[in-house]
Amino acid sequence: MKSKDNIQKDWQELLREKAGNVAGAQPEVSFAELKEKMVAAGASAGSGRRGLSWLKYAAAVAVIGAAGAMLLINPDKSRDISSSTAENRKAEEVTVVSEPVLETEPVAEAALPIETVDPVDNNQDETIPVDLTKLTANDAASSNAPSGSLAQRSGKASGSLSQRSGESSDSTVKQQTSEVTHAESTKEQTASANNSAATETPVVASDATPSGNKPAEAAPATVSPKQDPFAEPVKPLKKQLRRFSVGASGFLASNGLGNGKISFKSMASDMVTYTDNNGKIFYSYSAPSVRYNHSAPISGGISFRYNFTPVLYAESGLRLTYLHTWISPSGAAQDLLYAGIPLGMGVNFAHLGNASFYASAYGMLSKCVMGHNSAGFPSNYSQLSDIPLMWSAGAALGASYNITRTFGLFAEPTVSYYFPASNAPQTIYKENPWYFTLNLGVRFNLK
Amino acid sequence: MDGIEALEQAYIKDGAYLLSVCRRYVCDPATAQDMFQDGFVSAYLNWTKFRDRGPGSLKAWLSRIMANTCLMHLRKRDPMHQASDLASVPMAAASDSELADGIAGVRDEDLYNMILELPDMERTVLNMFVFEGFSHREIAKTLGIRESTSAMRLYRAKAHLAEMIKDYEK
Repeated sequence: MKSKDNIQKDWQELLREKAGNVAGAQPEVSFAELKEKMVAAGASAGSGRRGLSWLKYAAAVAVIGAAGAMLLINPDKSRDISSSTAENRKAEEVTVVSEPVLETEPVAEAALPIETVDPVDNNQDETIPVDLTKLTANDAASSNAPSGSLAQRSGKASGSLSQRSGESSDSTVKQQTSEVTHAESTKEQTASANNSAATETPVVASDATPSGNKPAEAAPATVSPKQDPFAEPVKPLKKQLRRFSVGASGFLASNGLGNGKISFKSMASDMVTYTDNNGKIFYSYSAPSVRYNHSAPISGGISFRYNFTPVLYAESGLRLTYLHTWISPSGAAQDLLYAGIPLGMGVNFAHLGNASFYASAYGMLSKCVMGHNSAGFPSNYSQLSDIPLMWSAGAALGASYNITRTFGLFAEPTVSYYFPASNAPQTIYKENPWYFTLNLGVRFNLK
Repeated sequence: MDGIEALEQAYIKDGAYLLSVCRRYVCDPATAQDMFQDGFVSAYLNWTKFRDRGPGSLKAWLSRIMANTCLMHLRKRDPMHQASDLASVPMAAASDSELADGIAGVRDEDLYNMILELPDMERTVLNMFVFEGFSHREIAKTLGIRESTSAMRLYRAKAHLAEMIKDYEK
């Protein structure tokens, strides 16, 4: 007596043998025509995705270039507290350095009478070039001597020096001028922090300052940094911490971190076996695949950042992601819209002018809030609630540039991992869980 | 063997059979010709996935590709969610043994034509279940229907087939 399975097998086998091997009409198309189509299809396969990758890299280069250009154009730093603080620190350093140089000023003063009193000697002597900057404070201080002896120590450099100091023969005026120059030079030293030739200020300043235009008593002979308001070491201003910031960002992602191949997935069992009447397998093969094509995810959202300290911050928000998948050759498509809530922490680790750099890590829970399948797309879901939640985690390195104190731009290269769920819809994240994106956006620093 | 060359030989040797596979799914001769061409293009694009396991394996692989190509086309038309004409469904199918006996007495070409006359949804499930070896679960997953729906459509296909064989015997 035959079991039910054997009976079923019989009618199925009979049907397969009799109707399955019927050869109907011959194909109308010749193989030459088929070959043309095959080659054409093979040549263009994947070209769209490659094009998108180039767009991605071009966009990344453009963003990096723009950020670099913005750093180089040297924006108005007066609005930036950190830059002014840095300038003050530099000015303080310059003031300290300039103190020994101020003591060398009598060299110039001492040189003048020699030239005017005894030009003959000056002409007879061989001019020895002397770099005043090499006259250390010890030289000047240890001498603390009349100008004459110092002039002798400085050799006959006074000839050239006096010419650069002006042609006036009045030593008194020259002395006053020299004192004024001293004060002026201190100002200039303070104002121009980048002037590496600060030690030459006696000469440079005397050129720039009209002699006798300012009263000599305006500047004391020896100026301490504390007496000079420009040399006053400025306490670094405490940067006001803006605790809340709101950002809006988006990205058009590329393919995942994998090899970027177009993915193929089997519709059903990967291995198919055929058996004979005795149940013996006579051949098996891998099932041909159905091609799933995925558009690049489009994502955008808004984020809220709370700065615990100038370094540490927490971030959350709402992010919408649109995923489009279609199968070929039928073209049946699936459109899904996910809403995700990220939660992350980050640190600001560097500042450069108006730019700051930070690193962050986050986790995100996304829920499908809108979905549509065209007819023929394989799906196991009859309603949105059947689609499982999508978990993801990632890390980002970010650079932001504050155009004003409240408004700035940012770019965040991000690596994300989407935890695959076996019952998740067929999306690009399911096939490529690792993802690299370049997140671009604007940020408002509120209060 | 080069992919193009192997496919050319398969075209010459099994082209008519592969076209009949397409027709078994889509019925319409012109559409079947289109599916045949699409199937060959798909085979060419997936050639690296073909594993030669001896004689007949390429034919079986190509026939599966043709079937899948046709399924994609049918999904687009979405016959799975069309309302069925319950009035045309036989009240009770013949037993499996009676069906097997009936099938044995019908000429191959006539049996093939009977399958083509089945409604789209029933013919699709019958093709997948009998000729491709899918389970109802796999059919349900592939077509986006419930397993019970797949089983019901197979039952109706069998009933229709038995009825046509009965008419054929008369």
